[in-house]
Amino acid sequence: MKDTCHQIPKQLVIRREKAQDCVVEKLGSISFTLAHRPKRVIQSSCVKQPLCHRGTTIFSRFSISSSIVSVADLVVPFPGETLSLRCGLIWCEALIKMVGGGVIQQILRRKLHSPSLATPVRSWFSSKTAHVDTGSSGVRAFALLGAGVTGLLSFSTVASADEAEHGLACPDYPWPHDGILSSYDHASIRRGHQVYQQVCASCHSMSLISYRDLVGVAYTEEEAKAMAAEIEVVDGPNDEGEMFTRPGKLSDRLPQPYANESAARFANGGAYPPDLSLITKARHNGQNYVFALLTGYRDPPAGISIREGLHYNPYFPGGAIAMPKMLNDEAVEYEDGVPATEAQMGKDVVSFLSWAAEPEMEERKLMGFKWIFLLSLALLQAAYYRRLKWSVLKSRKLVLDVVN
Amino acid sequence: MSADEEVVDPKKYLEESCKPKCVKPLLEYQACVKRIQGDDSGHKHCTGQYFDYWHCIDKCVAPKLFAKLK
Repeated sequence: MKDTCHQIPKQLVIRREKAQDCVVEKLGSISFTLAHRPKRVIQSSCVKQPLCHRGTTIFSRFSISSSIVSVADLVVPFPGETLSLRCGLIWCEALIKMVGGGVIQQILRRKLHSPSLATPVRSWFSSKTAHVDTGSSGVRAFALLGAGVTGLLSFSTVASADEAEHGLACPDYPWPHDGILSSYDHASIRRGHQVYQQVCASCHSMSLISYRDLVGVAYTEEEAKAMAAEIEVVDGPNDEGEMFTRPGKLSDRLPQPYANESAARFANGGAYPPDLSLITKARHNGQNYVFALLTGYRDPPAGISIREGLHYNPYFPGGAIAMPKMLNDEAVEYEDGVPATEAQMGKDVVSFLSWAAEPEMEERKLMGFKWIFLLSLALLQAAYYRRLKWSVLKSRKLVLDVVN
Repeated sequence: MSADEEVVDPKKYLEESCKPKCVKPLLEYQACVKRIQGDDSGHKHCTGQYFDYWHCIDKCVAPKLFAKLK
């Protein structure tokens, strides 16, 4: 097992070696005993650690100030932290421990002038680490400390980067479909489609959704057919080789407002209104981001001016968005009589967009719940069966006869 | 038509009601506005304090908003 854990204490290792020596001496002996079966040690009490952490435990073992728990373990993961940041923190801490260990050892040597204490400490250190000579250790200590400090500083400055560039972080709203077994609010999807159709469809396409997708989700088949029939679709060629237009069918996609991207950009001052079919998956924290964006149009902060043609929105990266505020109170009259406030329309349209991006969500959650449950049962069964089969080997007795 | 002719957007209402909770960042923002008032270079702005204030408001509003919506 090359993936070695470094936690095997020396004592047990020695004992094993001694036992193995005895075995070598007693080659040919039929029975052999191991004094203590080091079973618990071999079976790793080693926790799976990231590579950087495993390496630094070697360093930390050699420093006087090392403790079982690394300080880095106590740093609670913070938002925006990445594995590389955490590794950087762990390495910096190890370097500082090493440096600190060297410095503390020097201080100890100077303060306690007794050679009896210094020598064993020094010999212990010199046998393990490389940089013990007092002459250049000061320079090296300083260099390592500098490396550690820059490492610490680098991860602290990440958080304070230009805020407007990333946009204001959007809050997490308690969406009704968030739970592990929660479905969409289909009434909300229906209202959201109405908002899309009346407010958004003039600029945004949703070219991956067909009318038939809406059947059973937001509308009945008859309603969806009637909606589809209201649009004109180019079809063809016919028997005479000409393209013709016909009323829409269920199989047709939702209509596109512009013929192509260039036309869309031309009509919107150079900005392209993105297709909304997958927008909640195409943006980080999509559902919360889109809701915050749609309802977040505010006056810009002091000192910020937005040019003509753009509008200020703090959630949009950079702050200047081409889309004006579209959701205004009472812009839409809902069929079911729900008051169409800005927040209500925002919630409904984002529910609709979430469904459009992830129509399989409900089936996925049901499947997930079912299969996790079944696989847990299978795990219990497999664990029992494994222990049953291995019990023969695990309850075996080995007798090592030591020859004196 | 229902008696409730005057629809109040719940989000605006909650943002107003959360203002007392976020007085500190609001005062910081207002102090910043005062500080950069005389500036003509166009480089000074209060985006940081603005973000801090609205982040506080958002955190306060978000858990309560959907309870007010259908």
